[in-house]
Amino acid sequence: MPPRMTASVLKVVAALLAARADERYGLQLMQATGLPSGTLYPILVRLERAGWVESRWEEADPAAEGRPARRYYLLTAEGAASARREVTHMTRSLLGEAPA
Amino acid sequence: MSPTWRLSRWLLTVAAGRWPADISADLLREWQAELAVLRDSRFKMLMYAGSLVVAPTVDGPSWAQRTTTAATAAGATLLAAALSNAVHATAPLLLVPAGFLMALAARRARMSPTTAVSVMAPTLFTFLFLGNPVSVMPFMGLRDVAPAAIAWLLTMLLALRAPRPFIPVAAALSLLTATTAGALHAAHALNVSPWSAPLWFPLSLLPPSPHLPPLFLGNATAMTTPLLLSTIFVLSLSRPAPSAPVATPAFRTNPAGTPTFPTTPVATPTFRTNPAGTPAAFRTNPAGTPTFRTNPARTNPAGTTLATARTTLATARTVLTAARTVLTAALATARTTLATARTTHSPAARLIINLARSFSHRVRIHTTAITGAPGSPRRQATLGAAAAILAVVTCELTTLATADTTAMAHRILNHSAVFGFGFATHPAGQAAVALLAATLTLRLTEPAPE
Repeated sequence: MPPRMTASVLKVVAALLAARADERYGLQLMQATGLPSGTLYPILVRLERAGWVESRWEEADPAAEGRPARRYYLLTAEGAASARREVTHMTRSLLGEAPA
Repeated sequence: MSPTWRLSRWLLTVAAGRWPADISADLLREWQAELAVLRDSRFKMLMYAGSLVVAPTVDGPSWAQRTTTAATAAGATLLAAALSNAVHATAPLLLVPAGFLMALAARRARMSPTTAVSVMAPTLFTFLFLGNPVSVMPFMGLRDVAPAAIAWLLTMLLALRAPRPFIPVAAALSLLTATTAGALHAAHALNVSPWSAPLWFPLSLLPPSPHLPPLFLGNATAMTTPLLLSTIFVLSLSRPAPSAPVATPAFRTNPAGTPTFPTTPVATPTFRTNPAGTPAAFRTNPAGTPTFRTNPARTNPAGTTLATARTTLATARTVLTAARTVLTAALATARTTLATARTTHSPAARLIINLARSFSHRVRIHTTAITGAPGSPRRQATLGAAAAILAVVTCELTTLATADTTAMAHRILNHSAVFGFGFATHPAGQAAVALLAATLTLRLTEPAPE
């Protein structure tokens, strides 16, 4: 089931679209969207459940990094297409244009 | 490790515990990794962890649903308070139907007992403390109400963690503790022996006793009746199924005091393409057959206690089944008698019965025409507005009732005083009570989910 598109969800997918080729971790997405952690993570879980986003654990040595491994998020091909469509639709709605 | 770091990590554990069991461990590991990056800024650490603690979870209630739940619990508390007043103003025996009404209200409320207690305790404090002018209720000050509300909150939260068969007993102990905590100051001032504390709760529910000063019992009653009705509400809520505990990843501290982190997550850099609810794998032993463990409770003294409790419960169930059989038989007899009366009694009796049925039918038709069909938005809105107006009128009447403090002091002594609702003299208080009454009515008249 596609996720319900709210302003916060749009911010997250727009941030992930902006770095389509790059993986983003939670703090990066918080900085990019301005959303607090309590808002961001439920959205990421919903997007992952909908198949728009996939995640993987960082391949780094925790002892060397001085912290546990991070989790990275990336838009799936389906998620990127859907996200682009939703962002375009929302932009057109805001500009008062008829949907394509 | 600084206290802020430790507090933030604890908050993260609490936050993860609220999430679905299949993802909470991964989320906690992820959050702890991000928290480690924020270690230099106490403010950012607290903001990060604090936001996760208070925010709605992915499958949990939204902010709007949380507000409704809080309003419902607060409204139920005020209902308990209003019913307490009604009981004191009429007859103590009305406490029984008042309890049934609270249980009925709880059956329609959708919230966990823990949430209910967490909201009802501060509401009870507001009602008992702000609602009682010192001149009328001398032992309803901060030293009386705060211990009672805090004791009820803490002991009820503990009681709700008890095994299901013991919860009513634990709740009764909670009421005893709350009454004692709330009456200690009055007992000291009125020279009542604290050794009689176990009697304060039962005696406060009975007619005035010669063993304790009337003023002492009046105060205790004003506290215990709303507490009792609120407890009935909490115990009548349906309890959610227990969730699996969160597996907390182990963090170790080396002798230098710097935290070290487990390396396991690094070894699994796999993309997860279907996290939508993969069922947890059953664990099997190397031979491939599932293993079973015996319950240690069956072989120790605690197991014996549990077995005794089970036997007691089975006996109680048998008694209840017998009572239900008797009640069903009585109802069947009453129905048969009524049917016989309809067919064999005099024409005058039949005329009265038919007139009553016709009147009831017409009332139902007119009500539906004005307020809409049962469960419709129009009916809901009408009932909500009516409840709000009724609440404001009640507030006004209560204000009038408490105007004469001399008469009030006398009525406190004979257990017929209307207490509390002092905050209802203020327009803002009235608006709050009206809002709560409307919300509660909407919740109670809401069509049951299919």
